[in-house]
Amino acid sequence: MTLLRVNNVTLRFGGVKAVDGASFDMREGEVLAMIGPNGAGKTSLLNCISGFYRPQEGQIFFRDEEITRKKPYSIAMKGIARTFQNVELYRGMSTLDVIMSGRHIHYKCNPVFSGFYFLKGRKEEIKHRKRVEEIIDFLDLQQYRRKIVSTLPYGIQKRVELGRALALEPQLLLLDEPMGGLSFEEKEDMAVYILEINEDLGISVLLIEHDMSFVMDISDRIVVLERGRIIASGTPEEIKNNPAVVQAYVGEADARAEYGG
Amino acid sequence: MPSGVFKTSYAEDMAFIRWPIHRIALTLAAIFLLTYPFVFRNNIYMLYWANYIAIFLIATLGINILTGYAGQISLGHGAFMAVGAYASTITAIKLGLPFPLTVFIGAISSMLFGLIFGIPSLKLKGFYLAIATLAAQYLVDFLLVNPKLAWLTGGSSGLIVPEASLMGFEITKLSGSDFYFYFVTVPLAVFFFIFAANLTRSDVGRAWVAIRDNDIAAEIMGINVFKYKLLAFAIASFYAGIAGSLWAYYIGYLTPEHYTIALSIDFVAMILIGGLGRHWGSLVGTVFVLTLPEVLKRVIIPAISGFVPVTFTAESLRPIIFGAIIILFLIAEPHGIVELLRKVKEYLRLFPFPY
Ligand SMILES: Nc1ncnc2c1ncn2[C@@H]1O[C@H](COP(=O)(O)OP(=O)(O)O)[C@@H](O)[C@H]1O
Ligand SMILES: [Mg+2]
Repeated sequence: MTLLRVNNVTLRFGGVKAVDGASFDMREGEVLAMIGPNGAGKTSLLNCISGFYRPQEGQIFFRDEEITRKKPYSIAMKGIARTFQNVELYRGMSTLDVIMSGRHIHYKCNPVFSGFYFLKGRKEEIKHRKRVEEIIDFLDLQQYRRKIVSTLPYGIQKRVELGRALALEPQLLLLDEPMGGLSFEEKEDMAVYILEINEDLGISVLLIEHDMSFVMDISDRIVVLERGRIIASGTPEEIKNNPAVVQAYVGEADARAEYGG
Repeated sequence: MPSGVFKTSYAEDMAFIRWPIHRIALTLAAIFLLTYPFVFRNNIYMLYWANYIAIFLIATLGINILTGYAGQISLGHGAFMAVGAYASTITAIKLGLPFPLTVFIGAISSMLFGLIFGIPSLKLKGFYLAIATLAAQYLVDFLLVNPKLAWLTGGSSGLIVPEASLMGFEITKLSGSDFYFYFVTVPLAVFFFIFAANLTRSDVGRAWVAIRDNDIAAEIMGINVFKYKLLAFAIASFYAGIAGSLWAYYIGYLTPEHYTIALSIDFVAMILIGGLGRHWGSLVGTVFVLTLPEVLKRVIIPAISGFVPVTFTAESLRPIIFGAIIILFLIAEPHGIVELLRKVKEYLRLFPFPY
């Protein structure tokens, strides 16, 4: 069954077409990777899905419901959560509070009534706290629970951000370069988390990633973007042997490797 | 571990009272607040000071929610207070409504006014939003002295506020009104303090801080940013309205000079000095800013008058000292006195060895 359908989406910044008539389908339950050289429009496309950018043309459907140009918060409420290329946390909060904040859409208590904590708010806090503790355990964040997130190492911040997205209990999780800036061990951990999220929690994952070895390992299918266009899609095996991709992407990866990128 | 045990431990973990020291501190605070009016039963000055602090604390808690937690800077808090004060006084004069009801009307009026001036926060941030809220201040200043509205507002000569009566008992008229009013202002201040603390430790508070620290991420994680900004404006101005109404009843008359831009800036000073995003900071900042002029007048100026050739008045020294203190805090400790105290406490805890 199709979970997400991106249909002919075009996003322009002035004269620049960041996304140019991109179309792809994502199936329920899969890990779909989006790859492509820097500036190809991957983040822009993710931003269109989560409602932060409004494409000038095209439609995006989530479970047969059109979400194009809807407000970001209402898209989140439908069950789409994400992380960002350059970690976007709430710098003054503790790890616990950041992940708790991800529960926001599940709060039923009227915000003003939470001022009368003992009537209703407390029960609700406890309920959500339980879910959050499960996430903290899942991501091995116990020792950082009370730490202010801006003081944590980058790798941990990435995990906290993933935790916040999981707290929303999404059906679709968008990850923008979840391994960017991580050490090799951290990347391996992240790959395991992503697979567990997909297999054990049953969450569909759309991710952008540069590290081809991880992409090949963890994704069910891959779409390749170049200059805003989708130039190929298929299983990792098919992509690996696609001449257009090899030229566009692997060539760039070689160039990047040469410059130590 | 059985899930039942988990539950209680989370409840305890989230409670205000987590350590014995909290219980002791709160008990001492309660004893202090309960005995204070009786100890100073005949000391009008000390009773006045307590009422003054309690009333303004309510307003400061409000602006700290708006600015310290939700990150929306307001230079119109004095105006929000004015709207509450005038709305309650006018409904008391023209409609003869009872004291508690007019205070509530004052708060609701101020809240609606605050909501309107919260709308620009949809597009404006930081400095630009501050300027928009400044417009609220100037609009109110303008309306209150406008002769065409003098039939309602009393113009620049102001209004006499009717007596406040509670349960058939005229608390502002009796001799010793400072004493009786204490039992209105202090319980209300305590209530609004706890209410604010409950808000900020629950989902609303996290939504506000999320907006303050990263509004784009907050929106994408499902927070209706505009709605929560407006909620912060509504609650902040509701608090200001309560404070404005109480202050009007307490001093018994109302003139526009009470609520100028200077007051709005004082509120910003209170939360900067006390601690942004900390309710104890609201208390510390209010006490500090409201007490400093008296300390200047009674202690510092007499002490320095022998050494310096120029004569200072408290009024002339106040802005200079405030300016210096605010700059000092902005540079050295942007989280205010409360954070400073926390650091001292942390230091003492580790010295000479941790317990
Ligand atoms: N907010 C923006 N304003 C203007 N141009 C943008 C903006 N965001 C992205 N772009 C442009 O869109 C193109 C695609 O960028 P991006 O989506 O970040 O690529 P990727 O994530 O694939 O590296 C780039 O040329 C970039 O300069
Ligand atoms: Mg990108």
